[in-house]
Amino acid sequence: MIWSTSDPETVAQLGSFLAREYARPFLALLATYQDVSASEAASRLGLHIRTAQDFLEGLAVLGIAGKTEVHEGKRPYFRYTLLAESLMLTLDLTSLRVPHSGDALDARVRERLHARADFVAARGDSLIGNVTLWSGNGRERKQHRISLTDPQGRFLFHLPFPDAEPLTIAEIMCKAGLDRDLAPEILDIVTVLAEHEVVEVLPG
Amino acid sequence: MYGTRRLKPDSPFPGLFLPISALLIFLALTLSVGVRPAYYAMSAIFFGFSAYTFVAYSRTRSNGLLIVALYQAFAAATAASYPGVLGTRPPQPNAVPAIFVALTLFFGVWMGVLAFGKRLKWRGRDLLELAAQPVDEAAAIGYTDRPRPVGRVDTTERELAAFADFCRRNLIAVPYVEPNRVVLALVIEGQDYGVVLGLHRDYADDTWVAFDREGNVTAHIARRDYLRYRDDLSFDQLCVSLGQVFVDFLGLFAQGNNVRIIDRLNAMPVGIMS
Repeated sequence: MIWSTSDPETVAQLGSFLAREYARPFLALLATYQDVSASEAASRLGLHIRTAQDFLEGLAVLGIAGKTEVHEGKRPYFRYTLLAESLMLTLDLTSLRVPHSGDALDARVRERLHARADFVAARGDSLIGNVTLWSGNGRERKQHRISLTDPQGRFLFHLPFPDAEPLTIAEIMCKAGLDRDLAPEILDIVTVLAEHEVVEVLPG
Repeated sequence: MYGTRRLKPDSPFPGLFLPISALLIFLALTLSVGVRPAYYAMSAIFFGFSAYTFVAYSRTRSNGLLIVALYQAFAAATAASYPGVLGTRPPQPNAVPAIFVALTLFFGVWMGVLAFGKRLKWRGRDLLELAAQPVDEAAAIGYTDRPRPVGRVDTTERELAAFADFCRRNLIAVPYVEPNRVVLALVIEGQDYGVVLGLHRDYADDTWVAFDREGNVTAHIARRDYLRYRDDLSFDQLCVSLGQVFVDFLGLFAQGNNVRIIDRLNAMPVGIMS
């Protein structure tokens, strides 16, 4: 049986299991034995029984291993059997792209008045190199510095000032000489800056 | 023709600080230790001024500053030679080399004429006044520390380099030549020590206008300079206007109308020492 998944959360979960240093000998043990209990695996691999139990339970939850309750004497326990012969992880990175509606580029934007942010212009070029966002007050004050990509820096360089007429994102991209293919990363930085009240977004 | 005054009035004290201090030192030394050491002290002070002004001249190549430096040097020489006169019984006027006195007077008058024509001061305040003339008041302070793209000019690197040199010689702005652009940073009179002594090497927090190789013009106004205005001016308009002032200057320079640039700056209601 080939166990496969393309769900990013499941891929991340299994990835964390496989990254553990005892994962390979543990899977080898499961592949070799017909079934195994947590205490048997722990003693064989030199692990704490709790560690072995968590690993086996994780594989069972994902459906990679099956478990059967066994009654020997007074205490019941589980025996685990490997169900999958191979694992196939597929991660479609394009599915992770932040979605945006077609008219998102028509939203009018400008820098917000008294924005709590420091823009640092890149020396010798017409773009903003990074932006530092401030949040909280007094001792709770925190700063978050975002290094901008070249297109994002060019976009912010042309962002209208707080007292200027707002422009649509598409117009600013045009001024900055940016291709529409770059819209996702532009919209991403606009979203972040809008969340931090650095950019004012007005409906198109 | 004077424009409307948009900047807060500038105190004349910074400009008068050095001459008044020198005079007070002279009087104090005369009363305490005698006139001879006082003259020597004045000579040392003028020599110091002269050295500073020569450094300023070497950085800017402003002919006006050369005249000032020469005046200060001859004034130092004159002051140094006076104790010889006072030490003789009876005083011998001829003991002071007449040439020192004559040259001091000559360069002093020349310096006065140049100062009256605003040729000896940095033009930062004049530029801020000129940029603010067409700008409306804003409802709120819309300041941001981002530079503002202002427009585009059709120019050549050679023309731009010559214009930057003109700005430096006439104390209009300090040019910073970068691989991709030329930045012209404004200097306010009385705050030029860092620039002259080479201590101020970064223009990032100053008010500046940049011309890049493609002709794109960018303007940036420092917060401290924005707060020099009496009213809350539209910051967006102000940045555009400052950039446009330099674009216009570049156009006049390209046409050979350099004197019109100086005329425009002189027309601003800014004192000869601010």
